[in-house]
Amino acid sequence: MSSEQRLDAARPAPSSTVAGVPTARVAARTVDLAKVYGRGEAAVRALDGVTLDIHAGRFTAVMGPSGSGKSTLMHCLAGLDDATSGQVSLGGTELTGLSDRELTKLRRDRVGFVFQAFNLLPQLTAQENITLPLELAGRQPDSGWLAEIVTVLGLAQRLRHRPAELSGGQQQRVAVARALVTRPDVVFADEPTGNLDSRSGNELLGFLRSSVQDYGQTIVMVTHDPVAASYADRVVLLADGQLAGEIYRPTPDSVLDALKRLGA
Amino acid sequence: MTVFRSVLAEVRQRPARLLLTGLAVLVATAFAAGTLLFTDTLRATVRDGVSGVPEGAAVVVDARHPAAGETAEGGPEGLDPALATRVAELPGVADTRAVREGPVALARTGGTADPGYWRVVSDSFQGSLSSYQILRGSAPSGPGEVALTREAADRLGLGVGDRVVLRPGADAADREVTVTALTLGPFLEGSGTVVAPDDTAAELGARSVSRLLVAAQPGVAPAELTKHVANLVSGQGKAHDAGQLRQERLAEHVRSFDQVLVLLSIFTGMAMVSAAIVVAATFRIVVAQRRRQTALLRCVGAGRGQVVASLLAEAALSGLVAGVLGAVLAWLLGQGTVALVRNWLDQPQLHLQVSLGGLVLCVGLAVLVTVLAAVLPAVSGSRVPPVAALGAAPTVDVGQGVTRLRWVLAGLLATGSGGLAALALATSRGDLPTLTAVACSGMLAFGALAAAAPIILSRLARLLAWLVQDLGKIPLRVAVGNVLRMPRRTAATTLVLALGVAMVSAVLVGVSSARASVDEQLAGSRPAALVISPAFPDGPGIAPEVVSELRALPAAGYVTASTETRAGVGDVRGLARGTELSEFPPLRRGVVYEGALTDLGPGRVGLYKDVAERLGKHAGDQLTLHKDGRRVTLTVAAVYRNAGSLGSFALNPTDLAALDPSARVTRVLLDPAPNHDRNQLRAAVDRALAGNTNVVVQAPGDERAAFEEISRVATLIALGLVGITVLVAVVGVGTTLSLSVVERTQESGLLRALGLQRAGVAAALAWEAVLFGGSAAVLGITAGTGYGVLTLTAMSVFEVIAIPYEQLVVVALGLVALLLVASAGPARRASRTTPLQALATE
Ligand SMILES: Nc1ncnc2c1ncn2[C@@H]1O[C@H](COP(=O)(O)OP(=O)(O)OP(=O)(O)O)[C@@H](O)[C@H]1O
Ligand SMILES: [Mg+2]
Repeated sequence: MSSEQRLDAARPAPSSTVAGVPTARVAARTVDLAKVYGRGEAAVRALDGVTLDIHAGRFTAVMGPSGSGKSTLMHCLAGLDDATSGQVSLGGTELTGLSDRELTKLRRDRVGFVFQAFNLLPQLTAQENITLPLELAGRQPDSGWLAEIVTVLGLAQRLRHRPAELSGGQQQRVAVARALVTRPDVVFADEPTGNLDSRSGNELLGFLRSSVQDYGQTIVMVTHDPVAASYADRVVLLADGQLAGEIYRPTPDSVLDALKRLGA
Repeated sequence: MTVFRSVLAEVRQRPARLLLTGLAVLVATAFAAGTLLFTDTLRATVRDGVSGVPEGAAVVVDARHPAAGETAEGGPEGLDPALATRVAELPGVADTRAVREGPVALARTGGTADPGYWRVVSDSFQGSLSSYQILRGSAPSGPGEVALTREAADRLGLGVGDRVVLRPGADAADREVTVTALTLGPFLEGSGTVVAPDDTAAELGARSVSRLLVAAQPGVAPAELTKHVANLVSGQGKAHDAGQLRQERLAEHVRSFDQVLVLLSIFTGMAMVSAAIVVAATFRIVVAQRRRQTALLRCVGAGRGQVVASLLAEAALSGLVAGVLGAVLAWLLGQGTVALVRNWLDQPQLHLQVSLGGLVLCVGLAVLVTVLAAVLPAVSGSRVPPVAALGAAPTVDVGQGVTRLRWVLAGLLATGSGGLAALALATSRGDLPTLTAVACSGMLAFGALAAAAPIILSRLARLLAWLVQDLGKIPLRVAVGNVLRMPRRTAATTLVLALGVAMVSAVLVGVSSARASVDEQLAGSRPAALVISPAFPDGPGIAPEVVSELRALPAAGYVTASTETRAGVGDVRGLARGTELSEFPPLRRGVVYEGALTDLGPGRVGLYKDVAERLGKHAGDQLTLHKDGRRVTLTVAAVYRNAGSLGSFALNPTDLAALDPSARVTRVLLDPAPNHDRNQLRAAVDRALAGNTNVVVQAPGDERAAFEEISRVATLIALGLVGITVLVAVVGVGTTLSLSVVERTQESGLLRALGLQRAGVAAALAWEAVLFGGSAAVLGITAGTGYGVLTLTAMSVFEVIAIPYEQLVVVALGLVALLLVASAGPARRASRTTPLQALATE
């Protein structure tokens, strides 16, 4: 086994691990997941046999070199894309074999998203953007919960604004609020701070962190930034479409270290 | 050159885009080219065909038209029949033919006279001086044999071998004749023509020679011969050079076709303007989508001029493709139509005329319109700052800061429009200046609407959305957002749609008013179930025995016979009719301006409105009618509108008899008896009058049906003409939506990622089409109805103005349905967006 696993054995595991074995509930899982783009000569194995558990109530970061398959893994986990082979399950539901309709419904009710850019519909106000998934489901927002998220994210004064009238950081916070408002099984974030300056980025990460701590939200975040990754409980490393180790309780240094070794 | 290369590269990358931007122009060009083909073909048809002068004639002598007042008893003056022989003796004359002509009444065997106007014409059916060509059967030869023009035969449902009764005059006897042939007559002259050889025609009432045809010997100059003939016939008639006559006739027809061309050009122009607006909107979208790309080009050093030039070059190419395709489409449609028409009609002989120059002109126009439409979007597109390449810039309309300016401009234009409309209403003279005022007012109103449209439309769309908000949730919300987000784009497409809808509504208001007016006129002039009138207007009228026979019919309820004569008050002359209103109460239902029709009776007179105005008489005034030295003084009891049944002066029969003791009965009105219906009455009257070719029986229902037919055709043509603009607009909405789908791929993807089903994405687009359609329908129908009513009022065209509410609702629903169809393609494409496309950046 690789050195990284030794690395996390050396660290005290999170409280719910007994003797180094995570026993937390599993929010999402892949078994021998493979994803191939294209055919024949041009075929690219973006994912090549990934078996991974995402623990519920934890903040997981996915890292790896560019082109290693991070985004692809996230898309497969979130029901945005289908696997070529292997299995994906989310909150106990097997995703492979679900119809487009069922996948759509699953995304609506059980998944939250924060993308790197273009998260909001420009024609809707911030408030409307936040409650969009609820409205798609025909549900009433839980007004206490909504108020709380909005207050914590510092959006209370901005609810009537349209995205074009918000700063990049505010737009991402609206996206986070939207991702949380349905209390989904998992929130997926693909480089959510990629377009932000470091202060706004840190604010956003701090909020993601506290949503895990305070509300028990499960979050999976793809990132290139070791500092961002250090906000997570666990970092999963990918290289060439395969798992290349994991780090529990990461620090910027330990992450940078691991990445360097991967690159070597 | 680099500019052109980049355009070609763009085109090669997205060939469909080129067509999409030009689609509206394609439709308009097809219409323009079609117009040209149509008028060219029509003109050629007339030129080749039938000028009414047979090809063998070199000189034509027409009988002098009798001067006014001369006709009365002697009948129209004809040429001296002996003239033909004398002309034949002139040097250079090869042959002559005298054409006889006369009015006749025609009836099916055992029936009453047909209401149409019929004449008997003589023809030889052979040789170069014949005007009628046999289509079916064989030329009539003996007495009792005639030919009918095919048009006439078709109208009456007669064929070769059928027998009909002809009556040459009120005092002549009936002749039963056999139809032996159906013929092709001169263009537009065949509707009621019986053709027979000379002797038969003369016997059947073609007593006067109306025309002499002269053929020249080879080598004789027609002009020279015309002079000789003219000397001989001077006083009796006028000699024409046949060639010149043909030219004149042709020129007349061509003039009328030129008028048609002008009319069609107006609609073509409308379609082109609409297409230009649509193209401008399309280009604005394209430019917006290329914002980043343009900024990048500017970053790497492209000048603004180069950016504009490349966009204009693209527009020109798009216009060229659209123009060529449009012209080809028109040509194909033309061929199809000609083939169809050839199947129905054997006259005129149609050949599609294609003038290459004209088509090239159409294509040139298409290019010009497209380039002109692209200028503004191109210039504003080139204004993108190079730094825009760096930031993600969502597409938002620019220029929202000019709201105040828009209001001011709209206000000014609207004031001008209102002023002109008021002026037109105040004068209401129905002349050209009034019409011009109405037209200018309409244009200003359109301008005002165009200026205020972005503002009005966003309010209207919001209102409509609020009205239907319970129907759809997210899709509707998204659609409203999209409509409101691009007010200028929305405004352009909606405006064109509204223009089309306005024209359709105006046409419908016109048609329904025409129909209502005709209905009222028919009710006024034919107030009874059956109207009996004499077959010969100058004859002795309806015989008293016939009247009493009709009165005695058990199926007849109210019956009245009215007498008539021409009489005058001072020098205001008119038709005076003697009617006993108490015999026929329905007559009292007419529209009355003053007094009451119930007050009519002995010693009283009713006046037609126009006559009353000219005389300055009102109810209660006295007036003296005179006729040939006899005078009657009467009191005005009523001023009414429907002159058809009561005449200019409505008298009691006893007063009329005092004025003119020899006044004839010219009209008998009948209504069914209480326990009988119209058909029973009609059957009874037909039985009673069987074989009486002196009278014509008419049921207003027949006229109504004939009018319906004409009005249906006219409505279809009018709707077809204005429909082109609607079509252009619908294409425009389709194009805009298609481009928007591309533009909003990320948004659709995001919605899908967040859990909106495919159907939801499609529904959002459908809602957008509905909002477009709804707004356009509201604006267009309001404006169109308003201007329709304004025009009709100002022009005093019809007596009744009727707004066809149901049809207008159908128009609105139809428009929405049409737009849903137009949005189906884009909607399907939008619904295929995958959630992953939200994440793809370029
Ligand atoms: N739609 C696609 N078609 C073909 N190949 C693809 C597609 N999407 C991704 N790939 C390939 O799959 C591999 C993994 O891509 P993925 O986007 O998951 O990488 P990543 O780890 O997210 O990279 P980055 O850090 O640059 O975002 C890459 O080699 C990429 O070229
Ligand atoms: Mg990625």
